[in-house]
Amino acid sequence: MTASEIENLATDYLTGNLSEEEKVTFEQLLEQDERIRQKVNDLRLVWNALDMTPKKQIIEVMDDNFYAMLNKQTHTLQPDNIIYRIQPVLYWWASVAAVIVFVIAFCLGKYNSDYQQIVKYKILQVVKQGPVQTRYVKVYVAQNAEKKKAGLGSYQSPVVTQNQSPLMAQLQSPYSSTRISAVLAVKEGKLSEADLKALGSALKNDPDPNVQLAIVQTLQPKASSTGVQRLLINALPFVQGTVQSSMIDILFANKSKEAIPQMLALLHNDSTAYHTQGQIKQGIEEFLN
Amino acid sequence: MTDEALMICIKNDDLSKVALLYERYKQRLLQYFAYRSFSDRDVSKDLVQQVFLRVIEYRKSFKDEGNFKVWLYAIAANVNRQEIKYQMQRKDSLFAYSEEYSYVMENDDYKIVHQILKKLPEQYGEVLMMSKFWRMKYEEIAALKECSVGVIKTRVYRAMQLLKEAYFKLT
Repeated sequence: MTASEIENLATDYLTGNLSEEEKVTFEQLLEQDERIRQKVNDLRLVWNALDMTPKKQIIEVMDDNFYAMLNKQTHTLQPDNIIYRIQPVLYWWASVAAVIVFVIAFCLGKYNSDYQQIVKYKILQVVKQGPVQTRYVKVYVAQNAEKKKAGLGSYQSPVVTQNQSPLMAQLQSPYSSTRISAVLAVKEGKLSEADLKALGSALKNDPDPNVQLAIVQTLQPKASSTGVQRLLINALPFVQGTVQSSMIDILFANKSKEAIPQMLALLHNDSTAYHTQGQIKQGIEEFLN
Repeated sequence: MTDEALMICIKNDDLSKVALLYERYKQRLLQYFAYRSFSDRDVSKDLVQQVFLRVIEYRKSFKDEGNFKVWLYAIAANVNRQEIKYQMQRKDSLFAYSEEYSYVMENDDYKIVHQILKKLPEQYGEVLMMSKFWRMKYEEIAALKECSVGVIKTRVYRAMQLLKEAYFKLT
């Protein structure tokens, strides 16, 4: 047996790679052969030099850390609460139930609701010309009505009745410009009874002084007629400022006797402007002279 | 109970068995990490704990017919590799060896042997540690390193020869 073979065998012996039979045979050989024994002892010396024992306190600290970690892991893995185990199943069933309820509710709503009878309302923002003034009008919107070109188109049609004049309809427009245009259009033509009535109503009720002035300007050339004068007289208490002054001028210019009682009433009315009162006094004096 | 039987219990979520495996392997793991260059007391014990944490985390990946020792070594080697990488990034004083603070010397030659072992080529040093601390047979090392038993035998013989030569030269 060569030295190399002996060393290899000794290595196998020390590393525990010999079978039981081989081990027994090798140990017998060790007892018999001094040379082999010496080789093995040399190797054993080196082999055992690798051994070291960790300090006790290091092991204790390591044990503490390990068991703390193990407890934590065990607790995470096996929670005592049984709810924890069934929770995922509960979540799953809750999700399924929610979907079923949603589908049923959707089907019931779709096939049982009488949506044709539902009245829909639309909020329109109406913007006037002149001083900034915004008002909101709640209008009825027919269910199957065709879409209008503009939102206001659907506003105008419901309020026009068969007995109403087109002028009246136009004077009810939410736009001041539309109303003024309508009044100025009348100026060029002949006034019918219905138009007079519409203009009188607008003169009393229109919130825009510009529209009122346009009406007054329209009526001025026709103020010689009794009908127009009566219209102006009736509207006098409902107007103020420039409009009122203009109307008073027109009435005095046309020497309307019927206007005198109304003028006197305005003269004694505290709400009448001071310069208007002066205008009335001057007009009456001129009229009497 | 064998290591493998215990590991199968752990695989089936009986974590109380981890403690038994820990008691069996803690010392050799400590030695392994000490020789694998992390002989700092805190680092070595933390690495041992990390190994067992991974045993718990990856317990489902243990094959029923597998060899626990080989499987554990693979985890330890992986932990060791990651630690080296981490330490290389940190480049701090943890690389300084301090075995004398952490271990009781079996004999005075411990430091010499450690130095020799560290100077051995990686392939020899590794098989020697696997054999010494993990008490692995040649067949087990061969399976782990994916090479023939003959190759492993040669490496172990050569490692022992180098270790012996260097040892007697220095002492």
